[in-house]
Amino acid sequence: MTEDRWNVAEYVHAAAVLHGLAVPAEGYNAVVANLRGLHETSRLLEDWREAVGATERKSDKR
Amino acid sequence: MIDPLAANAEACHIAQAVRAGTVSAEAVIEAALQRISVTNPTLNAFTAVISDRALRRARAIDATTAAGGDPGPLAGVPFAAKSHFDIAGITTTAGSRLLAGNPSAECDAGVVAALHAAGAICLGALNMDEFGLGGTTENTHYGSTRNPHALERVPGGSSGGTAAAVASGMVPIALGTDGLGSVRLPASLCGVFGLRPSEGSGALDGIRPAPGTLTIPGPMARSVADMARVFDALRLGDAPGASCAELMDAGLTGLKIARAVGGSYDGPFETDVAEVVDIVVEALKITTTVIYPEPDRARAAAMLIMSAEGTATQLKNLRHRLEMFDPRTRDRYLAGAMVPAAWYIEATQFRSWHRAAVLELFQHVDILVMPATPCVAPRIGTDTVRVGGVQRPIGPALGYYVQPVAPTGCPAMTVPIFRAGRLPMGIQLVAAPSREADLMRVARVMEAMGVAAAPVA
Repeated sequence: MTEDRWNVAEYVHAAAVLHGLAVPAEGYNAVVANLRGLHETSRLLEDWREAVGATERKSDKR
Repeated sequence: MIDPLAANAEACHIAQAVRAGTVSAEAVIEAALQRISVTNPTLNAFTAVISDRALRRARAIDATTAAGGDPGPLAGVPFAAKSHFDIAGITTTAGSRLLAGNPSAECDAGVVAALHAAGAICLGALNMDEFGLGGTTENTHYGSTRNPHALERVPGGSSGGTAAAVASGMVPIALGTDGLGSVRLPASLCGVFGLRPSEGSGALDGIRPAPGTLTIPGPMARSVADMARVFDALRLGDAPGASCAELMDAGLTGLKIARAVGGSYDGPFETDVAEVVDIVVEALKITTTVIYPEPDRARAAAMLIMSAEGTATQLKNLRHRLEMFDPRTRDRYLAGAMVPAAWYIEATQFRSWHRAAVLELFQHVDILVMPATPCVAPRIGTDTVRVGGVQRPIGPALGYYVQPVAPTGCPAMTVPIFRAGRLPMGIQLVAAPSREADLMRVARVMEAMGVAAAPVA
């Protein structure tokens, strides 16, 4: 799920409805920012299997 | 000769004197309660103090000693526990107003009970970030805890009250919990020893709210001897591993020590971090480096797991009592509630691979040395800190170097590096599961060399 395909603000709105959560207006931007941060974090794991192979090869050379 | 009633008395000095009958447990507890009454209004480490029950317990220990009985290896030693743990007679708040109206705990959490069984005496509950979600112990409801070494600075978190209570000498030992680094981080910023034990080595009952798969109890102390004795007392009877107190003086012979590199462990480091790493590398004559497997992905996995699992316990409260949350944590919890399951599952799958990769490292080395915190204690109210050459939000950033170890199940200990006239900073030692004694051996050597020390602030 890439950032351009995933509108975090819209997702927060929909997820809040789905989970029965009332995101306060003053915290909305912070929730979006936090979730965007978690999304960026999750993207580090998207290709971990391929990356692990690369790391193991690098380690062998060292 | 250390006075067992003084603030700088270690747990072993106190227990030795109480067991020998040269000082009463009651006098020790009265002295500690007096220190708390003088110091705590400034530091705000304790959120609740137990006097009567502690003094009753002290008198019982004195009676046992007088009758020729064994009062336990930690006889008369005052301690305190993060408000994450049940302590009989007081309400377990976990740093949250949401739990403040709950009835008092009827019995002690497993680790509190284990220290009581060893003769130690609990004096109260310690401040923390709400539900452990934070790295500074700036708590809107219970106030900020101050760093005893620099009152305008944070103690770290989320076990900041634990670190401040030990560093200030209010108690010689205390209990915290470590999910993403909540023992090792404040231990580094407050200049004390802090241990995240092996997964499964200690009791998990009586932690509120119930911990996810990352959070475990961990002690702090001002000496390796105290840490070894406390860990021995906390360890479950069927947990593997040798007695740390018996093995801590075995020296470094046979231990292979390496500096961890790779990813964020390659730096760039801030000046203080580079300095403490150099001090330890030189003191221990470390010539080997090993590549820690994927620390940045390990950090990512740990953060996603913690976000999803932490929120799972709070969904009802987020729906119906949102206004009761600390504004500092509310928005993070709301975001955590919306984490897609796919992210969590990917993180747990990576965690399995990562754990195996780290265990493989320990086929070749015994101890890994790595930084503990990316900077010295920031000032209260700081929003961002510089890590790896980048300004990052303070909460997750302070745990930058301790988070990757959390999902491994390995024991890790922060060791305070002594630098005269400087703010505290620790180094992190990591060993294979159930090898806490190896951590103590290295730390004990560093302590004997004067490289590691935890003087009372």
